[in-house]
Amino acid sequence: MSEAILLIEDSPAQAAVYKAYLEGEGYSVVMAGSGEEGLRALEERAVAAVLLDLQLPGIGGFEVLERLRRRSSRIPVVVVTDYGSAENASEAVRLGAADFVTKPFDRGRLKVTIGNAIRQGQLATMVDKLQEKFSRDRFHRFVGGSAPMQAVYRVIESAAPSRATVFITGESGTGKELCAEAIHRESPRHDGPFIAVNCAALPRDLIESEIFGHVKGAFTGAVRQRDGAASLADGGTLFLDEIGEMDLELQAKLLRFVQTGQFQRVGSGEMIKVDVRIVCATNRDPLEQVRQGRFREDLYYRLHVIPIHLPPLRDRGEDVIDIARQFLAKSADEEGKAFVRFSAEAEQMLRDYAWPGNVRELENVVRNVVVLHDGESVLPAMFPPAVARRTLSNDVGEPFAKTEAKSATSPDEPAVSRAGTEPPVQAMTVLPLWEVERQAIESAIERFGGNVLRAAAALEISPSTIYRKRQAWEQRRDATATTADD
Amino acid sequence: MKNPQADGSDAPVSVEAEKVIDDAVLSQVMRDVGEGQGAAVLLLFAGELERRIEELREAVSRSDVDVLRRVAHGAKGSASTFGAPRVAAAARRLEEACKSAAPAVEIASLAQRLIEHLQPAATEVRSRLSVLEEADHV
Repeated sequence: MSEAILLIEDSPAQAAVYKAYLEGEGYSVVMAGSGEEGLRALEERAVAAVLLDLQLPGIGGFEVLERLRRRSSRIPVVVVTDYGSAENASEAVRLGAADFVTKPFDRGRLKVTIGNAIRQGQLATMVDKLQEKFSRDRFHRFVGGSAPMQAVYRVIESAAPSRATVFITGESGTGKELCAEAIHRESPRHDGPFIAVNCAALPRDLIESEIFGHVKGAFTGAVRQRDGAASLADGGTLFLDEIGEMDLELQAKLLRFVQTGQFQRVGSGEMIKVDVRIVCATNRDPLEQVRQGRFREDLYYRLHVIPIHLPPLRDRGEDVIDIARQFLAKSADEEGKAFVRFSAEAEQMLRDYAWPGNVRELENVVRNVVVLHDGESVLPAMFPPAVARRTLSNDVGEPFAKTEAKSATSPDEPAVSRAGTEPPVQAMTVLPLWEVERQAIESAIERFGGNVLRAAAALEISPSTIYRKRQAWEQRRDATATTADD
Repeated sequence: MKNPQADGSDAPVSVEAEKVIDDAVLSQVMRDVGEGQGAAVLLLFAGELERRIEELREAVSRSDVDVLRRVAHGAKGSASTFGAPRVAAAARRLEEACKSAAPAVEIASLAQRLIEHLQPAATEVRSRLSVLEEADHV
């Protein structure tokens, strides 16, 4: 079967000439007299290449080219330019044209150019397919090559080029922020800012100001005007984590922002318009929240354009080993320890454990092991009791802090000495790492007058990490208080 | 054959120096389109030349510079493809004048000039067409 070429040319005489040239070379030709007609034709049938005259009535050749590229189509486009318009030719190539021919051209020239463009398109398609098949064990900051993650990587890649809102669901610690970051990095906005806000970490009034900013005097303590995350994310991506925690009144404001791209600072009547792509995440079942009346249905459908579900760690097969090794290398390096591997038994324990706190729990467990122990191999007895007991935990999906508290307080619990190895070092003569971290973060926030976003930037971590940690410290404090009361 | 004046960038006299139809270019097109296609494309080209005359007249009467520019651009493209150098050159001048927002009088006179070159070109193409058709009927 002959390959088809779509010819977009408004002059019937020239179209007839090019058609005859192409048919003479064995191609079949689909004719379109305008850009609109051409784009419609492409929806209806597959072609091997497009021959496009730049000067068209209605939408011009450049726009046709841009629309084709926005569809991320691999169909090669050869543009026809006039003698003496080299600028048009280079602009077309910049917009993604495979090549150009300058009028007048003969059949031989067209044959070579079209032939090369088709081969180029075929190669690009082949590379795409191979990339799709080639299973990746790393994707941006994700680690792991399991089948469910391959699917996640593919959705991220195909969702990234558009401006459509992405709704990420998944248990705590599955990497929702990594996912949002990967979407940002893969998107055309990757040079713009990526701003994350954790809707659960602050009280209602503050969260509104955190997202939309406030003017001077908007509330007690608002001593000067401050930009919120929506302004800071202009031209980039705004990540709203734990969106299920947002109260209904603020949801209404968010809905208006999502619909119009406009918002008002707290205490101001002025509408501000920004260009922001919204990615949001929750560890709750959003539809269940809609049913319970805790989440606006209209907002849900506005946000739930491209859903991405992150699988829990226990469903990711060997990824747990891959990730644990990565954390071990990182922690050992940071702590100046000699750990280089997990023993076979230790690896088996990592596989058997249910990881209710997912990757974040795994990170904490590994860190805990590295801080409290020495050696080259991680042995089963070094694990915190929760993991060592191999309990296939029932509290799946519980907030991470509970799990962290469990693992981080392990020195207080009797060490399980299965294989009779070294007992945990009593490291309490120095400050616990989380306390050192807490002090560093709190003083940074203080230094920036309470501005979490700036503090995060200075600490080179994401704001949501700060929110998450604050939440964890609070829960740790609560837990301690409860114990003291008892 | 490459003619430096084919794009009409030089003095008006060069337009007159050109042939109405450049046989080297046209016969290359006739060979390239292949047997049986020649008459069809010539017919379309003649029709296009004639239609452009009408479009130009109407646009001049309405002083529609946008249409003039578009028609001039189209005429330039077809004329260079088929080898009608005088049309190509006159069309190029009109297009440039429209783009640079030249005075209306100048644009109107360049449009008139283009019409004057389109007419003989159309006639010439029609006569070649009838030769071709006669040859077909023999």
